[in-house]
Amino acid sequence: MNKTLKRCLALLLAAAMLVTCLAACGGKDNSSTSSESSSSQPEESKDDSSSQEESSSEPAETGTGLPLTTDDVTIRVWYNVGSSAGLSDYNESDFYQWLEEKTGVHAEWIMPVEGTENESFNLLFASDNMPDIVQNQMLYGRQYPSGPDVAISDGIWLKLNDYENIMPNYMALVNANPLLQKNTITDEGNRWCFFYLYKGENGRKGNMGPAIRKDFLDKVNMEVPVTFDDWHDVLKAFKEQLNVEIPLFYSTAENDGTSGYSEFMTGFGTAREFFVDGSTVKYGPMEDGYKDYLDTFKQWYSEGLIDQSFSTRGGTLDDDLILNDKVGANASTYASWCGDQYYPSRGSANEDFNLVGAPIPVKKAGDETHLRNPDILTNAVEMAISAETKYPELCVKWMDYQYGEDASLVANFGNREGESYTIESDGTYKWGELITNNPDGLSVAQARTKYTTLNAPYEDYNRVMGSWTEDQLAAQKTWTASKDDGVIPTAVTMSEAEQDEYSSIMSDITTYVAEYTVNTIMGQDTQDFDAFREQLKSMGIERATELKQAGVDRYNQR
Amino acid sequence: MAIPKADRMSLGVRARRDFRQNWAVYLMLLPVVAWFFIFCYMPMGGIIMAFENYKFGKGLLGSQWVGFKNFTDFFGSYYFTRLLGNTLALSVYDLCVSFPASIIFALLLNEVHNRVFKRTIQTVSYLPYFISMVVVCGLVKTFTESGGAISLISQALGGPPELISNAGAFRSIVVGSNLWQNLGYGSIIYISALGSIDTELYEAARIDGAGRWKQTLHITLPGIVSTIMIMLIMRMGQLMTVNYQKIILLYSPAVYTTGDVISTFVYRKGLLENNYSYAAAVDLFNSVINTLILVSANTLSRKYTETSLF
Repeated sequence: MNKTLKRCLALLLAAAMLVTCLAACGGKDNSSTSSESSSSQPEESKDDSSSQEESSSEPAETGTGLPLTTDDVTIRVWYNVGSSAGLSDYNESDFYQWLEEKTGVHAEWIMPVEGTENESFNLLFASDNMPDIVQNQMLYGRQYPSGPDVAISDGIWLKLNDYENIMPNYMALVNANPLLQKNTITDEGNRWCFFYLYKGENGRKGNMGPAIRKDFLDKVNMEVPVTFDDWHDVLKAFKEQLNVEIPLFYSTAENDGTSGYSEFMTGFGTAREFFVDGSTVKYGPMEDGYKDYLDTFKQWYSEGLIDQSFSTRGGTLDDDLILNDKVGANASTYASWCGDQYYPSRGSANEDFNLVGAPIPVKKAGDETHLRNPDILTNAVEMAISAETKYPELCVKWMDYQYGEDASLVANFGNREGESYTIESDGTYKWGELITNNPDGLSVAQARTKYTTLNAPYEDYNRVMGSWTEDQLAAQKTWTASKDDGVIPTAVTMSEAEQDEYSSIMSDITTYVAEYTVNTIMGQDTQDFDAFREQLKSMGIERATELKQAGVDRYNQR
Repeated sequence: MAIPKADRMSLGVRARRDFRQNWAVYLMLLPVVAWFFIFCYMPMGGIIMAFENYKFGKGLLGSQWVGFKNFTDFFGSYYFTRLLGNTLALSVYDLCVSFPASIIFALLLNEVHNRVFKRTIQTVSYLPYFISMVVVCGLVKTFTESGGAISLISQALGGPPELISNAGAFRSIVVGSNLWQNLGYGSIIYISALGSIDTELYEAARIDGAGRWKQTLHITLPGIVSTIMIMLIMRMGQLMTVNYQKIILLYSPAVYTTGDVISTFVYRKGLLENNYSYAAAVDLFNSVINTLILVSANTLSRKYTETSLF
């Protein structure tokens, strides 16, 4: 009895599998025909307008040869998408489904767990099983430890110089901008990755900076603060008159008592780390201005004007704090978080909620500053291809295809006309309701990830700004009014020996500076500033500065 | 567990018979042996890394040999004395608090005769052990950051407004939360040792007029002293191994002065800064010290209490 039951079950399962197989095959057939029909459809519609007819003839001319492969190929891609995306597998996103349909290449996404990105990235090199394509993020310290040149000589990444002829889309974009040409290669002239690029000559303008609650300012009858003294008075008023728990939220991921892009330090002529003054490299904590910075913030801390937990928050501003009116200002906020729409839509109790951008603080009104969230031509994503991959050409073509016109359109706006995007009367594209006001309650970042992609390889930042409110645009304008010429480009690199020496010096120094800064602000460390600087010297800061300087000099000569 | 009589049979025969009788026990042992082999013995080959300037591209055998450079760098490092001091201070502090606490807790439970009450207490005290470390640290942080319940109490008593970023309070936070987590679980072994003491001894003592305190002192404690000694030796072997997961989850630059220990330093150097050789050297140094402490504790114990691991 039992046996027959088991047999029946097995038979049933086998039958079920057969059916699903058939269904899957059928589905594939369907999808391939539908892709044919869908690819023919646009051509038909394009016939209507002559201008687009030309573009439709382009792919045929360059002979992209889609799909890239007819074999059943899976490439493995290591990619950190970040927690805001709300997707654990990129294959659920419209863009990557579309891409697979077009290219015939299936991508298996390997995504690190949040908080372990750097660890799992570093562990890739220790394993024997390097994914075919690996996302680097130099800005967050995720790159081959000895630098890109060594990565190529060590046989880690594929040297893309040899493949430039099969990456026409990417090369065309890079060659169109001299600064990009310089930024996308190393000192030795190696092309080691596909940088994610921004559309337009100036790329993406700075989109983070200080922001303050306008409605609070109105209540205490004050203007948006400009100088540090203004800030002091405003924060004090928030504290005393409005009883705001955290007048200024001030935190970085490193808990090192600075602001992410030195927003509150550049006004003192210092920075949280290295910066350039003209073409001279300087280390922020060695500058005289660092003492002014520490004194000011020590004062503010003791008066309760900055977050009493600033040294443990890890850079995360909890919803609880911001939504419940416990925070008056934030030292470094995204433009898209400003305005009178964003937070109320997330459930702020306060209807008047309005966060506006404030200029980078200065000592005296009219002073110039040199650091902020910089304008950038390349997004903080660098896609390198493993030198050990079985499909080097396919990987190159697959990456390159994403920079093409068709692909970047879908990557930026999705492929659901009228839903994920709309075409304005002037021919420009704009996000549709599906992204900006998602019916399923997805945040913009989540909707972008699902229906387009969060970071398009060739990103049209206007799509983001197109969805911004006046306040958000105004915030960006306020911040970008100050200069960003003190920022050291991420494309500055060092040789392996230099890198070794530099990191062994800086590892101790970074720890020491963070400790000193935090404890001084909290009044726990009473060590004299000059003694602190002497200690930095004895730890080798001058040598580290020399090394950084050499890298910058080489970059300037590229 | 039935232990077969050690007749004058050859080792092979005895082993086979023992295996046949206790195969389930051996089966249970298997994962532990595999764990030790895979995670403790196999990586030992990597020690070689501590004497090299290890680079991914060159591999373990191709990297440049630098001898003791990584060790001398560490001994000469600005942070060496602080790391060593912090590790020992935290570890000894933790040992002094949590080690006797588990024993006292077990003794107290032993005196409770209401079964329901005893079981409830036991279960409640085990629970924290099974909570994920990340969650525990989240709780600890919430209680000890500014505005947290414990911080508020401390402030009312004239302490600092925030404990978690206060270097003076950091060790107590770590030790205190360790105590909360491990008190119940750590007492299990003593409770089971207490259960094996012959009850007739207590009856005899009672007839002789010994009160509870005298019974504890003269029967209970001597009954579990060998367990205590074995546990102590094992703890000594881990003296330099503090619970780095907890510290990494709780610390910040503000409390490095007391909170930064050797294992967190190794974590930062190795996994965050990719300085694998240096991290391996520091960790090897740590392990050597651990082994030395373990061996000397064992020797001392063998000499004075006749209890030892080996």
